[in-house]
Amino acid sequence: MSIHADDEFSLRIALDSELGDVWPGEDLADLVIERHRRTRRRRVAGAVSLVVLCAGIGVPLGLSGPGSKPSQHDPGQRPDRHTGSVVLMPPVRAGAGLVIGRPAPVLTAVAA
Amino acid sequence: MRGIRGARASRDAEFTEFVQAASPSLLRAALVLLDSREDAEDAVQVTLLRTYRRWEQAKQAPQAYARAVLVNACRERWRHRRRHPEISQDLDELANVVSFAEAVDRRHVLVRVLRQLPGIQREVLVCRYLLDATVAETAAALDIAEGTVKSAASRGLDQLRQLLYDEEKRDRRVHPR
Repeated sequence: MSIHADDEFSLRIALDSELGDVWPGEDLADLVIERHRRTRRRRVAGAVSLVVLCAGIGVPLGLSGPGSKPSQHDPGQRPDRHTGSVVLMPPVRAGAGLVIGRPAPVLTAVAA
Repeated sequence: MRGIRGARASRDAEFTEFVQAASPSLLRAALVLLDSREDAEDAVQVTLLRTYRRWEQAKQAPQAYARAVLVNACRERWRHRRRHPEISQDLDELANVVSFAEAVDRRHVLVRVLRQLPGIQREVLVCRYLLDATVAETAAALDIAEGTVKSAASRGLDQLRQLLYDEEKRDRRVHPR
């Protein structure tokens, strides 16, 4: 073979002539696009089925879905940090809850 | 909906145009970098698939993007072969059976000699002389310094010249004129 490997130009020509009959398939682009779409469809289907599976397991366990309870009010939380709705109660004096109501004393007028 | 379809059609048209222009040189480069036509075709398909997936980013300079992806795809294949020598053995046996492919391959003296070069030299020569990349583009594609590209190209050409000389000498011994 009469090529001079130190000559860039002749190396390029030699490679072109040697590999000149190497051609890819005509529908290579369509093949690649189709392969990409097929892979993407499969991924989307996988993701959807994963979501359905997680929801299917989670709902009976009460982790999510309509059966789950709303979050409870935390009594230890500072009122200014609270984000949920709270019915504000008037402050109660200490010990007020222990007072047992007594009947009001009946005042009788004593005739002088 | 029509807008999405229109955008997809224009993206597909751009990509198809790029594939028609670039795929012959990509396949030839893969053929030199890898040992078989099947592997080369697979590597080109993987390259184009990755390029299409990132087309919005790749379309600024699709040739450079595909070049870098091709080199990586070929390196992945080498590593895979090294980890699974049994596959290489199977393919070698297959190559013995497929004598026609071998016969066709025998014509490619230069390709065969290029395949004997060490990895980095082969990659540099392929990028420079088959994919028509500049020194800077080759350095970017192979993720090496420009100085390394120049030295690898110089050493690769020296070794290629020596290997071709040896090949010619062997050829004369087998077929004396």
